[in-house]
Amino acid sequence: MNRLTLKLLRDLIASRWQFLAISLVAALGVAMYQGSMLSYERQKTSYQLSYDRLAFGDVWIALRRAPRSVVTGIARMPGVLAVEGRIAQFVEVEQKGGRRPRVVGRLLTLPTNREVTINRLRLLEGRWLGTQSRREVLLEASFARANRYRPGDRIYPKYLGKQVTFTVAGIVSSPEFIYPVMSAQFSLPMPEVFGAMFVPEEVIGPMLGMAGQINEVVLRTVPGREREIAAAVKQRLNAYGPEEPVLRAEQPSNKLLQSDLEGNKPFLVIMPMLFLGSAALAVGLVLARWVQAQRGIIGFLRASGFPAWRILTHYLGAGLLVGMSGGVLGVVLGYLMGAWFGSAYERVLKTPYTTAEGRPDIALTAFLLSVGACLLGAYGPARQAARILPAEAMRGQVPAQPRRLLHFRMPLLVTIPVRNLLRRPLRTLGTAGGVASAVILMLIAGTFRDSMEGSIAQSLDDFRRYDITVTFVPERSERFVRYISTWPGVLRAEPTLDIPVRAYHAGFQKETVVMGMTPDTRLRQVRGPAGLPVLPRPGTVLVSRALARRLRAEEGSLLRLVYPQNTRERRAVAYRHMGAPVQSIVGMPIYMPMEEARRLFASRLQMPPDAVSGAVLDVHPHYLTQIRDRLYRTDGVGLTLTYAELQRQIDEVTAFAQTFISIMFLLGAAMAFAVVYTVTDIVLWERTRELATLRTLGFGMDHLIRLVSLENLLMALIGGVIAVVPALQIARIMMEAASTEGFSMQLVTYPRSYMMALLGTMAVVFLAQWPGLRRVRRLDLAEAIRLRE
Amino acid sequence: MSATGTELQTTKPQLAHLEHLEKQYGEGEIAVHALQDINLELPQGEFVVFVGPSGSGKTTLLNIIGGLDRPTRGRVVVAGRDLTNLDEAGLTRYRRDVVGFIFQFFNLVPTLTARENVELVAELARDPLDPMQVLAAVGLKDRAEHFPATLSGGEQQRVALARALVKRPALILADEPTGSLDYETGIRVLQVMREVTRDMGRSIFLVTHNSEITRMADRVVHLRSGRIAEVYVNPHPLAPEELRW
Ligand SMILES: Nc1ncnc2c1ncn2[C@@H]1O[C@H](COP(=O)(O)OP(=O)(O)O)[C@@H](O)[C@H]1O
Ligand SMILES: [Mg+2]
Repeated sequence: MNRLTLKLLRDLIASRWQFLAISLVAALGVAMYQGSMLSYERQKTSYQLSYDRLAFGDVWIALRRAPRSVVTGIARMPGVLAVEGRIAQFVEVEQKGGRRPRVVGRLLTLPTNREVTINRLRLLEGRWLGTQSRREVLLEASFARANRYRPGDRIYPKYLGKQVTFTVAGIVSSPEFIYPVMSAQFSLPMPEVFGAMFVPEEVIGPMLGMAGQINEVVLRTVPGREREIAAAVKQRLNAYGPEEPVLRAEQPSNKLLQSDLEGNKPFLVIMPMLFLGSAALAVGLVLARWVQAQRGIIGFLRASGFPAWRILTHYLGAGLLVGMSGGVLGVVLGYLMGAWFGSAYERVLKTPYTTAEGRPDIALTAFLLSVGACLLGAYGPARQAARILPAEAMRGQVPAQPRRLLHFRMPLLVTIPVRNLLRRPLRTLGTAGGVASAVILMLIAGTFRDSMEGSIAQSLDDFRRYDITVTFVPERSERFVRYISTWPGVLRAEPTLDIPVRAYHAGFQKETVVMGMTPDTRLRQVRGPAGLPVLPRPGTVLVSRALARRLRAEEGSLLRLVYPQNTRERRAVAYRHMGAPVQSIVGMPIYMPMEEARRLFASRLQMPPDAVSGAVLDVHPHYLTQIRDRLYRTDGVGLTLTYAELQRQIDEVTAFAQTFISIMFLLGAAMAFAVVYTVTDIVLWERTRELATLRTLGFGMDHLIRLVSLENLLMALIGGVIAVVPALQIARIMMEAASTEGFSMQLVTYPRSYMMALLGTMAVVFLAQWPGLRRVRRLDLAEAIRLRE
Repeated sequence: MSATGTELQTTKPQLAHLEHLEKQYGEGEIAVHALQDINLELPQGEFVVFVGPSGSGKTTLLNIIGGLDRPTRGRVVVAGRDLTNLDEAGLTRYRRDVVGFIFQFFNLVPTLTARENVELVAELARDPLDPMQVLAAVGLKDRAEHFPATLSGGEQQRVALARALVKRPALILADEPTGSLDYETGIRVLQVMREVTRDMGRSIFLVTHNSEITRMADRVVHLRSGRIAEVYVNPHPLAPEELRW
């Protein structure tokens, strides 16, 4: 082996702990990148794979009703690749066998004499529907799992008061319900209370009084022309009351999946960058010390005829090796992390086809990122080394340029550390920067944890005001709520009116829901900017901050609210100015005075004049189950959710994020330890001679420990102060980018996170100085002051 | 017995030729004239000692001869190469092929053994000597596998000597090689330098502020305030062990 390389390896071994620590930091960055990128790409590929294999639809058009024969005509239209007509119907579904008594089902018809050409299913368990017209059903997997259905079990859909018994033939996954939501207005998966159910069209048509008819058309179109073709098909179906076509991008499940994916994106970039940036900084600091200590040797090498580029590559080599070891370790860790992320995701969502492809390109990129970061960190010192003049070898160690030192009237134990920090301000700043990067990471992780906890706590607190939320299918009049309020155990019942709308502003749009608010509401309150309950002023709406951001709207903006299922006979469009944004964690609702919601939407959509779409109930705890069961037995009650169930739902959607954040926090702490250890140790190496000299002057170890601790703790403090603003900024950017359709957090940092980050760092600094101090204690004093390193 | 440099023409082939050499650090009021009007002819195969008080310009002169530094004015030709015409890469090649350095601070690589320190330089040379043989020549055969930290100062300086010799340089440049050593170790190092260079037919330019060392030189160059005060040939060089300080 080349002797210069040998020197490099031996030097690295001599500083092994520092470099191991740095490699570890780089490895964590690589692992984060590789892990999250791998799961991101795998998810994306899995969705695409499922969509391709199962011929996911491009366009959905709901109709009032039409003869099945319209399909033949549409199939011949230019640009239409395939078309299916089906009946799609929300129904109440009764359950037995200890399951929740009533849930909402979406019945979707399937042909039994041929395979469906669009939105095919993947059979996971059991068998397909038989060809005879049996009362059989295929259940969507996440619903089946949440309600413990196996093939052969019975399930009891109801329609117009009629209850029918169906047998579960099989369990399937569907490209339309990977994210199991009822409609675009819902943003949380609710497999416990909602399920897609695929049934034979020959059975359901007659049962719903729609034999030979359909109420939904699904299309596959020539790519890129979806919108135009959808409009043409809608035009053709004009006689049958078509609603606005839904394109694939707006399809509820797909939209939430994509939004989830995009929400993860900032993590893919920012977190790894933080780690790799810290690794680069640490490499730079360690190598700068090397170069300082090896000036004489570098001078000698140059004097012996080693060209400058060999000195450059020598020190870059150190960065390369650290980067490579970090890269290899990180890629292995990242692969495991990716697999773990994938399985965590799979527990929440049932993707019909998943891929576990290895993606060597991601591994390679991750590896190169580590190498690149460490090379970048090494570049500064390496260039400095290459510039050292050969004549340097003639000189002894150059003492740092004595700057004009400030004069303090303070004890020496304070003056020395302060002067040390001021003597080389750039160096101090670099070291403090290293500490700061660790603090930043811990603060970000802490902020995420606090915000998540705070947001969940707040949303639960909002929900907690009522014990049960009820949805009526279809809308009822307010009398019905008054009737419920007379039930024994019901302390208070308030009507709710939730109407799906598409909100438009400045070219942006979002499918959401208008909620009517009664002026005397106590159970469903909205919090304004100050955290206090607010009501929408007449003629205005209150909009959640996340929605305002999405629509690029602010206080005073004029929003256009359109009922998405507008037809020629039933349509509602309203314009409303927006009030100050309000806090809302789950979903992105729009709040409107109840009376206006009824006037602008309910009456125009042919609902009762005092329409309610549901109610929220405050009940006596002893009566909770009794009231819930009574609701289940009441006709026209679709969804009934208790507070505990809501809590479970939120826990489920946030479980993944919470685990992710805990891991981030741990990694952040690990990185903080590694970085702080490295920089503290460097400082001590540089001070070794000075400290030894102080010892010869009669300073005891206890003096030195105080001296060093004070200097390091001051450094940690500077680092901590530097860290706060960037940490909160980065956290805010990440949080805004990370809020999904379903869940938007608000930024909170509890004091405990500041305390933990600062105290944690100080503790690490304090611990990290011991190896160096032990070195000072063991030093042979005579040797130490005579010899240079 | 003394003479000026130009009168000292010998029949030996010429190694170094310095002509109107000047070195100035800084400009204007703060300018330091480290060297002024240096003219020297130095033949091959000699042990030349440059002596003078601290700050007299010895190191500056040695650096220029070694291609570590450039003169402000004048010409330097060593082993047939005009250093004033060489670019940075040319100077690097010159240092690699023509000269070997020894410093007051030994500048050994602490993480390489004695042998590996010598090999480090051998790998750079076009036609190096066997590192082990050179180490044997400086009396360190037994210490070859030791790391610098376990060697005495004199041993470290002998490793440095071996490291300079291994690439067969025409000229060894030593700046205060005994400066960090005690008397006995210093003498031992000088002995080895003398013997080995004589055996191998190498030239040595040694810089020192210790005038006792001039007594072992073939030729002595006295510097004072950046000028040559005196150049003379020593007709009876002493053996190093006869020196006292
Ligand atoms: N890099 C430099 N910049 C400015 N002045 C220098 C530099 N190097 C040497 N000098 C000055 O040049 C003079 C000669 O220095 P030097 O050759 O080191 O003397 P010596 O080796 O004889 O002690 C001294 O006055 C010294 O201060
Ligand atoms: Mg000198």
